[in-house]
Amino acid sequence: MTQYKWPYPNEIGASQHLTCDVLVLGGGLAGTFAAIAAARKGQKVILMEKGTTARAGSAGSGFDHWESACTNPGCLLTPKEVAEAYINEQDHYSNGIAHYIECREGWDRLLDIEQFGGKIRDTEDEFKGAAFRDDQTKLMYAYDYTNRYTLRIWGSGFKPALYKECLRLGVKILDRTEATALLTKTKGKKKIGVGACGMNVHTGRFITVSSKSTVLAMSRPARVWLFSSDLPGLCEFRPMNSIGSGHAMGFRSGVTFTMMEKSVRGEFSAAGRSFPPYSTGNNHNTWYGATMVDARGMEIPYLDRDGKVLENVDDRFRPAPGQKFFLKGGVIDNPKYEYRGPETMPFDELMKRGYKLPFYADLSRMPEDERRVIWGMMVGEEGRTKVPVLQYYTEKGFDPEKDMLQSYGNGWKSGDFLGQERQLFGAPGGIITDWDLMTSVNGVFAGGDQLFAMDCGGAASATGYYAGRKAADYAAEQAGTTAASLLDEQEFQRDTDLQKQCADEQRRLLAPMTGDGDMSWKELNFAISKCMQNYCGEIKCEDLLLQGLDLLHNYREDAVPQLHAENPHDLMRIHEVLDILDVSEMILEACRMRHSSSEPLHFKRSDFPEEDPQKDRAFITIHKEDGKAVRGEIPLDYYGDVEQSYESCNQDYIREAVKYYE
Amino acid sequence: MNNTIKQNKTTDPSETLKNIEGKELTASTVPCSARPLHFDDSLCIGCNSCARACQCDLLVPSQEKGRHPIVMYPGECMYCGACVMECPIEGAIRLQHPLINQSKFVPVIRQK
Repeated sequence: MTQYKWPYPNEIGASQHLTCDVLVLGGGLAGTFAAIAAARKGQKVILMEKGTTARAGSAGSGFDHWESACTNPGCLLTPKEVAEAYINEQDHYSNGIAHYIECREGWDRLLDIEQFGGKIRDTEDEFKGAAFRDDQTKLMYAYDYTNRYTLRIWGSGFKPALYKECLRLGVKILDRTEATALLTKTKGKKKIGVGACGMNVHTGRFITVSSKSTVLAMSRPARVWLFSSDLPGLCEFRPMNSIGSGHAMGFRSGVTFTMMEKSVRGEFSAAGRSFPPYSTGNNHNTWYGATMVDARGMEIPYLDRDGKVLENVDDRFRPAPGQKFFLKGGVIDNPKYEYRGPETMPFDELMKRGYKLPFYADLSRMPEDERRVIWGMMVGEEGRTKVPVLQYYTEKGFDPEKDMLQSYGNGWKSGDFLGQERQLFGAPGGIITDWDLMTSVNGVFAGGDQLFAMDCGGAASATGYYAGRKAADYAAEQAGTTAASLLDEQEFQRDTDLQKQCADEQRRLLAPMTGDGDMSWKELNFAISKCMQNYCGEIKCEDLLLQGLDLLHNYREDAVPQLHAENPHDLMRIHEVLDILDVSEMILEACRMRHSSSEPLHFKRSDFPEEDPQKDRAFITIHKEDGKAVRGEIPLDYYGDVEQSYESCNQDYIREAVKYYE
Repeated sequence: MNNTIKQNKTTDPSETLKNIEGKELTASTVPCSARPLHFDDSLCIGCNSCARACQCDLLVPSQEKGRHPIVMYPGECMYCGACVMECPIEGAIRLQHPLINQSKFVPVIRQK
């Protein structure tokens, strides 16, 4: 271990106060689109991002296919058809609002990105004549080539383009600034968001922002069950920075969440059991439709939903006879018959028939354009593939015409996990909102993965933009209100309640620099993940959940005061773990609130084994009030008919969006 | 926009915080089992584009002008490749997954 001088100024103890109309927390797809929407409406916008906005978020290094852009010119389906299919497929434990926004406005956002300089069409005619390409519009489709609602795109350029557009519109971007807490005022029983606090992770400077409205766009929790102290950057699917700080600060401030009892058996943790996403032979997602073979080179058949063997590669991309369309994509696991698309023969059946492990993806047997689009475009444009997968394996000599790439785990997943090794994955819980994407705290909106049951980058972009637009409308209506008056710095300084919130937050953030502790952030993160594996594993019960809460309480009392940071970077990692602690408590409390088991929620209780009884077919919500977790219940289809509800509160946008279709 | 910076004036009155204000801070390399990044000293111009692109902030600019950044926290690398994508000199920085994550490929078996 070598010690160096910290190269950035020491601003620990310094503070800075800023004001704006709309404050956006998080600079991924959702956050940058929220900032753009608000700035387009003439609002002054500040965006806080822990990393650097040009490459921040899950799509920072790339993004290869955009799901459910149902209003694109080639699509044969309506937004309502696809959104309702998702809702049915997910047994109504689904975010109908977010899905409909994704289906209805996703294409508009793609056209925005194209205008900002992003590439959404095969302008160089590299794939001219391919079955997945429309030669007139040069758009390229994935999965269902007949219905054409998901697009292949060149997303490695998207984030830099969005960043430049934010700057062009005058958005003030605070990079290397972690958002840590919401500032709120209480009016009667209602909480109002009036800004947020943060810290510069290079200098330690404490930052407060007064705003009329705030958008939470800070992804979802991670490192709750899965942790590696050796390779923490690889232990989850989402980027290292995305650990659920938005969930934690929202929960601390009274924001309502739902489905937080849902977690799934781990699918990706490249610090241990699995390989990095997209870097092994497989036939899902980015690799959908790839030809799979067994160890002898025997081709593994694709079947339609009726078990009929599909003879041609093209059949893998077509609905079955009598089926209008099929669902595939990030959150679609084992779809119902109605939506089930082509899939390789089930693993158990392959074993019975004598297929030999290991399996491989053999792209050499595919038509040339199908091979090139998987290895070269999709693997290349998808996040974390251009350099570490495409470039690395190419340099190592991998040639998709001559070589095949191995699959791992039980067939062609990239690894196998134990029941207690869990993740928030496949449409997990998050913030529940109204049709304005406003949370239970007035003036605080949410977009992207912070919403419950979210989907892919297209959904993040569409909901981020929508949240930004609604936050801008809200801000514009605030003249004369508390939130607006607090933009005056003297008013803000005179408000003793807010000054106390800021002082408490600054003290909380800096404590690990000032105490005499010696515990690293990793020791506490590791302990939390073991606690969650032990007490909130695959099968849950009241006694174990209480044990888990008790242990986390002990960590808060005994371990947290021992945490030590050498510099603001360490401090940032400690703040993340403190947020993981809060999120873990929310998850344990949410698990205690559902008194039955549920297959769609991957939720099993030994003390309440009954599966999905009618009485519990609802969104169970959780929020914090006076330091205690409070249970609530909202009907599953609370958002009404998705098309009618959307149209009743978006007439202004519908008029404006005509320009995208002229 | 109304921006004010109050340097070194804290709302926390604690003595311990005062001990840190303005002091020179340090960073210690935290070794791990992997070596995610390799710099070619003959090519790197020390522009720190990679450090600016790194979302995990595991690179810290070198005190020596023209030298590549220090890989302070290699375990925090998420292997996204943004550092390589933003590097202006081809080959100056190389990203490589740890040995456990290098998957196997073999020549295809041609069916008779």
